[in-house]
Amino acid sequence: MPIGMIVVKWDNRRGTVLEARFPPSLRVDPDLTMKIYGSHVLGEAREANLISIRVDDLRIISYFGGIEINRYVAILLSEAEDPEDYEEVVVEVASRIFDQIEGGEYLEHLEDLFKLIEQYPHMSIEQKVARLFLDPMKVFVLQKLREKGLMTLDQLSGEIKHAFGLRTVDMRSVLSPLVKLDLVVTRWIEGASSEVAFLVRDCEILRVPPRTKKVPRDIRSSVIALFSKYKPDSREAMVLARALTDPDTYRVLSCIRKKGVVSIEEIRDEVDIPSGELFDILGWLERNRFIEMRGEEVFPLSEPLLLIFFPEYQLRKMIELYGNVESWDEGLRQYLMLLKESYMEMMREKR
Amino acid sequence: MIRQIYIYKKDDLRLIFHRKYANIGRINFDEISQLILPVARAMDDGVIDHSEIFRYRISYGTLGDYIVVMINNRSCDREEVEGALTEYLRDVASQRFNSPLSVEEERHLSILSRRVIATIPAKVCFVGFGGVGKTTLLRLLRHERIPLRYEPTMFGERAIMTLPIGPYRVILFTVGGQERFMPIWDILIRGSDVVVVVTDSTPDNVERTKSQIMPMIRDPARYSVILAIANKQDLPKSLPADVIEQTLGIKTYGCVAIDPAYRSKIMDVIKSALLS
Ligand SMILES: Nc1nc2c(ncn2[C@@H]2O[C@H](COP(=O)(O)OP(=O)(O)OP(=O)(O)O)[C@@H](O)[C@H]2O)c(=O)[nH]1
Ligand SMILES: [Mg+2]
Repeated sequence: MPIGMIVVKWDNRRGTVLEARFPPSLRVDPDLTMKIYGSHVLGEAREANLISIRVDDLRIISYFGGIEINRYVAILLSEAEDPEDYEEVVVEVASRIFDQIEGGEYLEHLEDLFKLIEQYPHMSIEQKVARLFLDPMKVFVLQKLREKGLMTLDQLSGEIKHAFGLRTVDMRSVLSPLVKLDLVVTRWIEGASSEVAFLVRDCEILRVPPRTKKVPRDIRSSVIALFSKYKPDSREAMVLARALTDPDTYRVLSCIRKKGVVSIEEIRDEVDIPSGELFDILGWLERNRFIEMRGEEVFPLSEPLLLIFFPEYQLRKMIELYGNVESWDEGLRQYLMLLKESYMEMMREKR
Repeated sequence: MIRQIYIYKKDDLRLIFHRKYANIGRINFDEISQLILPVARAMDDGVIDHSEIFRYRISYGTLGDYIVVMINNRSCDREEVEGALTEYLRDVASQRFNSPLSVEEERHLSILSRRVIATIPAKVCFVGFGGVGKTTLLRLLRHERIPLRYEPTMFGERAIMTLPIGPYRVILFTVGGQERFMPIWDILIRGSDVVVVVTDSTPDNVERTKSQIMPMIRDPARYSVILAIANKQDLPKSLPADVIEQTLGIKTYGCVAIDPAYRSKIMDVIKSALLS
């Protein structure tokens, strides 16, 4: 388990200043905050602003927002833990905090942010990828890359700034989870003005009929009715992503799927969630057509499914867009190589 | 750090209260105030403005019946001074003072002034090559056990001086002196009220300090008082402080940091650098 999280600001006069910590009982040695800052500015960084260091019997992973923001967010871990498991989540939590740094709004969300940090390493790859659908900027980047296959980071950041009305974007933090989850690869290419991002795996989030043999006869008509009129709307991806990524919701859903039909009583016994919360979750699942409740009984109607797949369509698009292979530039050649590697890797994983 | 505070009545520009916690060299504030006060009086309520001179910043603003002027170090963050001055102005303007002040009022403003002074500590940063005795000096000033084994400082270290100097809390910094830390010294030096260049009193070290360190601190320490300590005077063949002073071109004090007898001398050196 992570021991805690800290938000630290650099002040020219005072050195490091602890702005926030969680849990509130966490004790933080002022020398430790200086050491972490030192490691950031010394640029021993493995991935730009992200560092992982060891101080006495603590392991630390920390993300520095750059000179402008002049703060870092660090997760303190016990010796038994692998900081690498927290790489994406520290970047995500840090960017959320930096977004709200002005009014100190993030202070109210520390507990939730820390909960996310605790849960993150235990999530499956599918859940981690599903989380991307909760972040409009990540969805946007994936969409842009689907259209183009490859783009320079300058192009991408330009598009993001335009679409979201921002003055600056921290491309490192936007891309790092996509890279970590093997969807995107970034490379320097001769002649390009900045690094280039390539889409090497794609993902989609779908609603599918319950994948259980035990769907009772009398619910089948409801399932058929749902899917014959099914038309995903703009918030559908978010709903599906939430069902997959909210740990309690996901546990309830898995329990229903496993059993086919269950009583509320049985769910309560199995998932160990307080009654009030369980009813909230069931209510949400019913409103969003994942389940149907009949009295005390709960029936599965549909479930979220996350697919990670090889973007075969990019091959055809490359030919359509860029003509014959002879005229391809270094970027396209690289992309082809990366796609090949990605394909082989996915084949290996399947076996 | 905020060095001096003045409160004037807005209508007749009469000085009703002032405190000088630290001097401002040969600068004649009476003359400067003649220029600043009419400007301050014409400003909108709550607006803060500054004029910078030499190593100092003169910050002023008006609210209600009063004008407040604070002389502070240019090494301070401007926004931070504005914050402190705004709060102080608000406190002052929320009251009506007799003229001259009653004993009670004088006391009240003294407390208020001390409180605002305390919000911005003083910063002293020790720089110099590895092993010259910066960490040892910091320990000496903090009345801590003085280590005889050399443990290089990584990046830098920071500690609060045990005793305040005048009304100021003092934060001490040392840089890691090894070569690989030199590119980031400026981060630690910036914002210092006093920069202490430490040498170990060998000809080689003094020479390298002059040619490498002096030029590199010029920019981050441009508003700081800069002085030197010629440490390890107990070692044979060490150059005397006045010779080192000649070479470096800045006021230089001899020292033996492992000898607690030097504590009060170094304390006085820092005190006078901060206050005079
Ligand atoms: N003889 C003698 N030794 C001293 C004196 N001052 C410090 N030392 C010794 O010099 C060594 C280095 O001192 P430090 O204070 O750690 O050096 P530093 O300047 O902080 O070095 P870095 O952290 O690497 O930059 C230690 O072994 C001290 O005991 C002194 O005045 N005389
Ligand atoms: Mg040291």
